[in-house]
Amino acid sequence: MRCDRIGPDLARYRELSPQCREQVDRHLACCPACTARLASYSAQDQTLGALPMLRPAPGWLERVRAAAQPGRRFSTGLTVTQRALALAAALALLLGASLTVSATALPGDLLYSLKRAQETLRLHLTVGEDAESALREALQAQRRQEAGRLIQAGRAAQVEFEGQVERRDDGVWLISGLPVRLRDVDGASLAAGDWVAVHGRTVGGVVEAHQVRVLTRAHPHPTPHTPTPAAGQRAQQRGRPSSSETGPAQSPDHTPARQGSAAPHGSTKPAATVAPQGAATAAPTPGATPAVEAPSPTAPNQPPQSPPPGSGPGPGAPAVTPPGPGLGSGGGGTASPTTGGAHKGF
Amino acid sequence: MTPGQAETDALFERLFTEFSTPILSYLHRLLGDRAQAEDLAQDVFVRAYRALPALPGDANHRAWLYRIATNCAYDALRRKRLIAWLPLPERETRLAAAFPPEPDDGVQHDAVQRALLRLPPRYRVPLILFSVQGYSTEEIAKMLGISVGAVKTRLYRAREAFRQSYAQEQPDEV
Repeated sequence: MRCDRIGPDLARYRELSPQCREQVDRHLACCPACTARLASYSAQDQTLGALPMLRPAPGWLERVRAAAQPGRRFSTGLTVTQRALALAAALALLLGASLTVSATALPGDLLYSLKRAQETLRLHLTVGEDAESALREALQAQRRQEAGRLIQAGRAAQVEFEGQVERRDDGVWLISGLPVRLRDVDGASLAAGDWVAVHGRTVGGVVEAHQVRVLTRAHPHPTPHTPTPAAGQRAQQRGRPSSSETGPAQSPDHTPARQGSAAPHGSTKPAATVAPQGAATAAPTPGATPAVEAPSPTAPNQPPQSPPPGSGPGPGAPAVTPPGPGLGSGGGGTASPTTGGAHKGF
Repeated sequence: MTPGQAETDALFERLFTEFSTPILSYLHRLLGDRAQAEDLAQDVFVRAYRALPALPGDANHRAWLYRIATNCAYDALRRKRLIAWLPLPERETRLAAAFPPEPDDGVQHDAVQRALLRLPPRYRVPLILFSVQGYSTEEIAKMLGISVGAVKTRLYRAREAFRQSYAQEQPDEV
C-alpha cells in the first residue's frame, strides 16, 4: 500500500474493516509520515469533539416547541429574524400612516392626541429660541384653524387657542376671527387688541369659553380703549402675527390697536353668522378674587407673562385673568405670549 | 385530537427533547452564527413536525433530523454565498468579528471554529458529521444523497484542509 493511496483510509480509520485495518497497520509500521498523519486526524477528532455544545438561549426551546405546534405553524417560510424585521417594518408603516392621518385630526378625533404628542416632540427637538417661537406661533395658528373647522362642521369639542381680541358684537367676542361667547366669565376687562388664551368648547357655531386668560394687554387699564402706538409696536417686537395677518373686520374704536391682530387661516367669518346669545354678563362667583387686575402703571411696557402656576383662577374664580403687575423682568425683551413659561405645555 | 395526532405529538416531543440541543450545536458549528443557528434549528423542527406523520415507522430519526438540518444549512449557506466573493481580508475580518477572542478555553474553541468555517461546505459537513457527530461514511452518504466513495474522498480532503486551516490559527499544533 502506497502513501498516496492510504489517505482516505486514514481519514476514516475507526470504521475500517478488520482486513483493511490490518493492511493499513502494516503500512503504518514502516511509514512514520503516515503514522504522523493518522495521529493528526485523531487529534482533529478530539479538537472538534471538544467544541462546546451550544446552550439554547432562554425561551428558545419553548419558542420552537410553540412554533411547531398545530395552529401555530409558520406558513411564511421566514426565519425568526426575518419575521421580526417584517413586523418592525409593518409597525413603522402603521406609525407613519397614523402620523400622516393624524395631521388633519381635530379635537375629539381618535388620533388628535397623537397629533399633539407629535407636536410636543417637535417642540422638544427644536433648537434655538427663534425657531421654537416660530413653531409655537405656527401651532397656535393651527389651534385656531382647528376651532374654525369645528365650528364650520358644527361639531362640539373642547378647544384651546390663543388669539387677539378684535371686537364684541351682540355679546359675542371676535377673537382672531373666531366667535367666542363667554360662559360664566366676566368679559368686562377684555379690550380690543388684548392677546388672550381661550379654553372652551365649540357649540352652536361659536366657541363657548369657560376660561379666558389675558396674556398681554393692548392698553393699560383703566383706559383700555385709548390706543397706544407702543402696544402695537411691542406686539410686533414679540413675534406676534404680522400686520399682513390682520383680519378684515375692524372696530373703529380699536383700529390702532389691531396692528398685531391675527386672523386664523381658514377661520370663519365673524359675527355675521353668530347669533348674539348670552352676552358676557355673568358675574364672578361670589367670594372669588377680583375679575380684573390692571397691569402695574409703573411698568406698562413690560413684556407680559402668564401668572405663575397656582395663582390662576380656581373653581368658581373669574376666568379672565390679566397679566400680573410688574411682570416680565425675568423674561427679557424677547418674551412672547407663546414662548412664556405658562405656554410650554401645548 | 386524533390518536394519530397524539402519537405524532408524543414522538415529536421525544425527538425535540433529545435532539434540539445537538441539532442547534451542529448548525452552529456549520454556520458559525448563533442567531442563524437558532433560526434554522427552529425551522428544522417545524419541518420535522410537519413531515413526521409521513415518516416510516422504522426510520432512523436521528439521521433524518440531521439530514433536515444539513439541508437547511446548505440553503442558508447558498444564501450567504455572497460572502465568498468578498476580498480575503474582509472575510477574515468578518470571521474575526464573528468569533472575537475570549479568555481561557474560548480562545481555543474560537480558533477551531474559525478554522472550520474556512472549509468549503461540501467538506465541512462530512467532517462534522463523521468526526463530531460520529456518523459512518455510509450513513453520511445516505444523508447527503451521494456515493460512499464521494464521502470518503470529501472526508479525506476535509481533514487535510482543516489541518492546514487550523495550522494558521495554531502554528505550533496539528
